[in-house]
Amino acid sequence: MNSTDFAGRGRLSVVLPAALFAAVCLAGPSDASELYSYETDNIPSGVRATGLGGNLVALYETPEGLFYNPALAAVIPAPELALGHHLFLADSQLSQLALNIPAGITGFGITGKYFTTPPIQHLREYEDLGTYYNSALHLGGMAAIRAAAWSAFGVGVRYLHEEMATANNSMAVYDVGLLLRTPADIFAVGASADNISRAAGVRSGYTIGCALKVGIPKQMTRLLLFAGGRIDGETGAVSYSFGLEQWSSDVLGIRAAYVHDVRQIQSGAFDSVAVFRAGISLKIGGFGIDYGFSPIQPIGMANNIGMHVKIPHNAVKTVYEQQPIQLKAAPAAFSPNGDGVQDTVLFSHAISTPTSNVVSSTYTIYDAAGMAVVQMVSTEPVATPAPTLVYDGKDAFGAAVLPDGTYFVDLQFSDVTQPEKYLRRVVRFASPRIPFVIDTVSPRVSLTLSSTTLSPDGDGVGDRLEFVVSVEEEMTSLSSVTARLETMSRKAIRRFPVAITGNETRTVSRTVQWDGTDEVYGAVVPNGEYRIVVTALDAAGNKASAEDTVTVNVPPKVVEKVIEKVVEKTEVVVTTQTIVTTQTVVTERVRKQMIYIKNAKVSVDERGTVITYPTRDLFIKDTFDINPVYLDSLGDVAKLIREDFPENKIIIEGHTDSVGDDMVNRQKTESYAYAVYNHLTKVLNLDPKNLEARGMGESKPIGSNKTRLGRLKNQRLEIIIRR
Amino acid sequence: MVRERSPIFYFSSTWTAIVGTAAVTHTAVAFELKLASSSAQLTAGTTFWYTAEMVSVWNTADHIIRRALDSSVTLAEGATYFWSVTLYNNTETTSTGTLRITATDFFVTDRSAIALKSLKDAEVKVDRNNPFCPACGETTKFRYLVRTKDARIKLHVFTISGKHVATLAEHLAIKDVLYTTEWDGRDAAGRPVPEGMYVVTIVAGDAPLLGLVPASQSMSKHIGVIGRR
Repeated sequence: MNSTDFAGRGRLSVVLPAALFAAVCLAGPSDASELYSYETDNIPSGVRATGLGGNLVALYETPEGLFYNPALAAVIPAPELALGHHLFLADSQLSQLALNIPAGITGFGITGKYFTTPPIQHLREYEDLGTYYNSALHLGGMAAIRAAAWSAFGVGVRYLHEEMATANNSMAVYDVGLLLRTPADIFAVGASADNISRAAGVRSGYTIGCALKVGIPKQMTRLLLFAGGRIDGETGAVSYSFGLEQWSSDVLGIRAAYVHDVRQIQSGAFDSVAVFRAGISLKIGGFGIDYGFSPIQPIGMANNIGMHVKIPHNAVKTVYEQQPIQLKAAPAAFSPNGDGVQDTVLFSHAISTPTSNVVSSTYTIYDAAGMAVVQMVSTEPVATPAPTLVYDGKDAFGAAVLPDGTYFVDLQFSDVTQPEKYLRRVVRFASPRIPFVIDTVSPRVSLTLSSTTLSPDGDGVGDRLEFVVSVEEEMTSLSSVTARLETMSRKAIRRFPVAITGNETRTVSRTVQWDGTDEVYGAVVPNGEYRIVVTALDAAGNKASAEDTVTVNVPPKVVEKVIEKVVEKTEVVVTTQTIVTTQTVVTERVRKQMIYIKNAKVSVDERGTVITYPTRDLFIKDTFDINPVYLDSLGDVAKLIREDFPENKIIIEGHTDSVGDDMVNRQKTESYAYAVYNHLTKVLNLDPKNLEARGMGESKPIGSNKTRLGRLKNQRLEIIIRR
Repeated sequence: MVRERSPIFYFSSTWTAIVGTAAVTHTAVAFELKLASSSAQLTAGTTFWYTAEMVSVWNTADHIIRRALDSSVTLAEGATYFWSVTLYNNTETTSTGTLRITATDFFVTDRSAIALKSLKDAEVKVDRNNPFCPACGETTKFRYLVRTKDARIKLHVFTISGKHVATLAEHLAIKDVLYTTEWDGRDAAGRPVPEGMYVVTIVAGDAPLLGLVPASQSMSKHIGVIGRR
């Protein structure tokens, strides 16, 4: 099944009948009387049809529609006979018969009408010659063909014979008709042209009408709405009719109609015009009885009584319907390059109509030019088509991947059921073509650093690093761009968000700044080499990255000490007119020097100058013995205190993290503090009256005890030179 | 079917005289009907039938006289007859005698093939030439009347399918008075109608609800139009 072929046939099937129909309609009206010899042809036909106001060129539920549109012979689903008896004005009677015989995509119909008047007194001058009758016999035959599931075209011929007293007249006329309908028969439009050869004495004209079926679920109710308009081919007189029919459980039908006959209203001959029609039907299985009521102003009323019966038949009839389905391709772009990221696309569909016997499910993939390149067909009947299909981007031979580009996919399948013994129902489901993209090319990524070194110590020089991230994608769109900082061992320590804004789906260029801090603590990272890595991902899952290294080097931080103050005094002689005074200007010059303690951090805070050692390094592991490496450093501390802060109070504090018992921690830190105290007083001969040792335990953390880095920070020994 | 029928005389009177400056309404106590074959004979008093009657006092009145003619009187077919009615007032006399007032009119006798005798309130029948051939110069004739009470009538011609063709009569019909109208086989626009069966319908009374005329107030009859004899 190929949708292009199907659509092509559909177009042809509507163009041909429509052109024929238009040619007939454009023949145009001619000057003639408003009245016809064969006026019996104008008596409304069909019981249900008259109750709905006539003009029913789109009603194809009963063979009565054949009175109005020969095309209906091909669309009335089952053979059916409708009989009607019309008690018409002045005791006239009209018997009607309509029979349709469907045959494959064609259909045939027979209509018959027999009209009689009661005996009429025959007068020649005043002489009574007994009685005479008027009778008319109309026989019709029609053939129609369904060119597509949704269009039908029909032609008909009618033989009209009238007898009145001694006058006999006969005539043959030809009709054409057209019907278009939507899938599931929800809406239909019909049109017909009567007496296309314009045989004199018989009405001709054009009728266009539509029918809409509305089902009300759960209520077992069905509504049919009709509208029709007729133009008399001779006079151009117009009449409209609007009908509504309601069926309860498909058993009881009631209907009402409004008829607007412009000519009758404009004639002004009537005080009021009877515009309403009504009717009722009772249907049991294939048999039904109908009643139609139509007042005829002002002559009286017409009662229509009829029955219809479906005829059992052996030919299996196939009806075709069409249903749309929704198809989705996710992701909209994919990269069948075997990298494990978006290597396939998933086609999924949703059908609202339940299916039971689905055959020939076909996914067709078209290239951008509309050529089918891959077809995936499943002919095994299943109850419901698989809701999804994974497609790997391979070509029709399953060998190579299709070239990069935009492709389209559609899904078609048919649900074939046999709801009745002689009825086969084929519902063709078809989705619109939806696009997807195959893209195996990664985006282009570039990274430019403003500098390869960074010293984020807040001195205003080399504190920040700028780098420019620039990404370009050719086919699809960018789905993410990330920049991150890694250690040389690929441990990520900082991410830099690069948001993609709406108009940057294909190219992104960003300048990112880094102040040397990590993401978790917001603290400056340790000195060393780091990597900046930029990664871009496109919608098809193609990834590309660029990287560069940067060196972080923060020089050790030192605290200044005053090493010399020089006070200079200068005498200046100032002469103001006659008064001469001497003023003394005092200038103080201060020389400062950085305090530098080897292997220790020196800082100044509100307590004073603080020299901090990491406990783990200062002491030999699991002992309170000072690591010999640090002896020089402590010697520097003693020298600093002796020379520059001889009178200052010195406090030695041991700190640790929160691991372990609080009491134990306190004792341990106290032991560390006294180890240093002893070393300073006994080995380095500092005055013990100025020194004090304290074990602070875990009470003064400077880092988070929840992280390893924080705990290491907390394990420290501080020598505080108070102000 | 053909039978003779007595005329129904219908008159109404309002009898007012100016006496001095005052309007005086006279009342009638008797009337006299006279029938003659010409107006001159009527004036001369050469009547071949008359009737006089004392009545209870009237002043303004419609009066219908159904009085069979004497068996000796035979009206000719297709002839014109003149009649007069004279009212007498004996309360006012003049030197010349009783005060009286006279009115004259005429009627035409015609022949009918039909009898109107249904129980409907309005009735129409085709009286002549059914079917008829307008192309041969023929016309047809309808007779209609209303019973029970005076009523407005319309006489329409429709096609057999119910299309309006022409309105032949539209007037107030006097109860029990027989009316006649002819149709020459033309529609309202004056065009000859095609050959076929038509329906002539009388509708009596006011505009009904939804255009549904009660069956008793209308009657339809078929009338055939043929193209040749």
